[in-house]
Amino acid sequence: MSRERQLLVILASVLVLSSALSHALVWALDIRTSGVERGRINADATGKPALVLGSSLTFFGISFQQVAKAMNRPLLTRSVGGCSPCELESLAREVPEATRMIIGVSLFDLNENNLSDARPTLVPFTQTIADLRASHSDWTAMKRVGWSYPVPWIQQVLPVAGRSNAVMVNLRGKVRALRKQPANLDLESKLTFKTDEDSARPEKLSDWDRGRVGRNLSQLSASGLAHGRFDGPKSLALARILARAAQQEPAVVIVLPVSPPYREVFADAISVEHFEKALERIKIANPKLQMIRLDHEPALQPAEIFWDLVHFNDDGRRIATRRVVEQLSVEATR
Amino acid sequence: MIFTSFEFIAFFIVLLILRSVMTNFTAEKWLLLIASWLFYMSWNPPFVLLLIFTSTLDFFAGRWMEKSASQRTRRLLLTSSLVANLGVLAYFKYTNFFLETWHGMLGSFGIKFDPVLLNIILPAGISFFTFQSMSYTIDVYRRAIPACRSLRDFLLFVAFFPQLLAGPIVRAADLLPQLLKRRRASGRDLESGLALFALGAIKKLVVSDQIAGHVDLIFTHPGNYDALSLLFGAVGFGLQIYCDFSGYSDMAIGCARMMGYEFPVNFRMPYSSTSVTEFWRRWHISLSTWLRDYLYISLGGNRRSPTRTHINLMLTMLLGGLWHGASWNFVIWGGLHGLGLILHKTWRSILGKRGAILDSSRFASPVGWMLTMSLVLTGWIFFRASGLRDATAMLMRILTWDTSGIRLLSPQTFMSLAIVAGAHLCVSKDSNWTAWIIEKPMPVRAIAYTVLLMTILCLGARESAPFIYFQF
Repeated sequence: MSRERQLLVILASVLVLSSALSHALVWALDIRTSGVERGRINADATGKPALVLGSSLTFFGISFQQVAKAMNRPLLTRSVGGCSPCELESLAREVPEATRMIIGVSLFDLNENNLSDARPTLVPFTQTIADLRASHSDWTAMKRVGWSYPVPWIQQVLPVAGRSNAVMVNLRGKVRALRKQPANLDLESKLTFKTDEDSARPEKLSDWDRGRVGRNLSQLSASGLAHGRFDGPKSLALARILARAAQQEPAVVIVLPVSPPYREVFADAISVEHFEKALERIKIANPKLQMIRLDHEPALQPAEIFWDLVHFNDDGRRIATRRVVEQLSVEATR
Repeated sequence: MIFTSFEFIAFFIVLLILRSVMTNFTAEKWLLLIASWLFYMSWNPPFVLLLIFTSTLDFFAGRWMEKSASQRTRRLLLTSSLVANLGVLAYFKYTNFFLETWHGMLGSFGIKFDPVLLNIILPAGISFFTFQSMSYTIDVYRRAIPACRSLRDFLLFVAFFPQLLAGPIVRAADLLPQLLKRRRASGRDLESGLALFALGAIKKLVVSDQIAGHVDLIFTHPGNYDALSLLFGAVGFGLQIYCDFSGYSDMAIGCARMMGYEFPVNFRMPYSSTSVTEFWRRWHISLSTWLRDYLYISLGGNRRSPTRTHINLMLTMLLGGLWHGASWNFVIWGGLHGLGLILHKTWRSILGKRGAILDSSRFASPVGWMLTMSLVLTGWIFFRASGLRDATAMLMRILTWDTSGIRLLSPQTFMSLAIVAGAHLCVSKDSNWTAWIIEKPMPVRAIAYTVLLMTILCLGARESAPFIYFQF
């Protein structure tokens, strides 16, 4: 056989072998390949349903079971790990029956440099390009977002492609389980959150040693979060979601805080200023919307109420839920 | 557009397809030239004009030098070419450095001078293409090679995309003859090129990119960490820069080979060296041989007294350090290596014939390796630190084993250390893995390449940072 033919046979074999191994790894390590979470809370209530949208920060951070009870209406929930308004806009279209919208945002998930793996599967390419152009995003950002679109196709054949973090974390998890050690879920790990039930998170970020905090910060830093940008496709998508919600009952935007170490490294004065301006633009465009600034609550600032760099633990969720319920009741009585 | 990005892979596949369907050799060379310019323009479009300008200048300098019989004219032409090349390099790379140094010097004499620092953007790979172009004019002047007859071929020699941004610095004598005849990669070339590209991608994505965040964190605030963390930060940077740069070189050589061109080897397991001299025979070989052939030998090399040889060696290494960047840190890095080379040379001359006996003893290699790595690691601290003060403070904290500060150890650094150390221990330092693997039976090769691909998929970073050497 000629060397050229040998190479073709070898390449085909490599592809088949890698694909089989890749699928086997995803199965053996229990790696999630589809992340959209859909839920229904307080389904027995008689009122018209409201839609809750947000990333894991929102659903770890607030108990929507309690919010639903306080509002006395069913809540339909939609989320996907690491998502932003871009992905949530597509998910919101699935629920035309909702008459009110609650959406959680933060300095972490509104940052344009923080890309969700779910974007290529949920947001049409044409929409992304149009948003990138409309927001005058630079060429680097365009390339970064644009080239994430072929990834799902590659993942059809090689499902571990682009999921090296999940492979390593889940592998460590399996080893820990075999050695009967407790799980150690850092950021970027298997965030198996449910949108319709409260996951128990007793751990405290304040118990982490400084080395562990540093390692997690360096991981985030490597993923390009160093400088916050808040004037791209995510802001445009949020504006569209809220414009659509303007025909319904006044929407609620919950602004969640991030932990002190995260703020120290990633929330420099310029980033915060841009973030505030983005929120201000939203408020001006939607004067009726209710903005709940949990990030301004003094009780929600310390590291004790986070279980990692951005997610609330059980204590944080308790305080945050109480504040949200209070503010919603105040608004309802007006 | 970096080698590990989807856009480069798409660009390269399209180029390979277009090239394979072309029947006209001239059109094929134009295609390669335009593709190389497009590749360069993906970094900063206007600077392609600078690339064309300096290349054209050197092309005509070479042509006139060849035609001229007068030694004086030839020297004048060479000087003009060198002044133009080094002038461009000095303006873009060293203007602010010289202004700041001048400011500091005058300040120490009590003279007030506040220079206006210019906002100069450094063209990517300027040090590489300038040195490549300069080596051509010097070789033509020395009559080591004939002048290139075609401007298009010369422009392609300088701009050829696999080596344009970070080398290997390919000599005209090696590449220009390859551009004269139509070249097609054989099945063997394609396979070994692909294997080399995959190996380079592993170095970049699995090691360099995975530890970059941790290394950055340590070197941004070295005062925050304890001695062990700082030591691992320095080791981490040593691994990062080696895998980043040698990974780039492997991918560049692999790309060229897939098109039928051959580039010189740039790295040969430098961390297995047992002396500084050996280290420089294995690290960035195309630069060290460039410095040897065009600087060290031009200064007189070792043809004069031992003292003069040492001065030449030190000057070469200091300028080699400065070539990397406009900072005193790089000069000190070069100086440290220069000192290491001088000490090694002196030690060898003291030992005389006993050196060979000592080399074969079991004791010499580990001691030599430890001493070499200590110097290399110390050098990396100066190379990576943000300033002299940071570098010396970091070094002092390590040497005095200061245990105050945060303990920050990264599992990625341990994994990378294990991978690189494993490779250095298991593979002979002079072996050529790609030449070895392509001789194996098909099933063995298929399994080996599957392991490479799965390593990239399972352990590689999701997003790749630009190569460190692009900034030089």
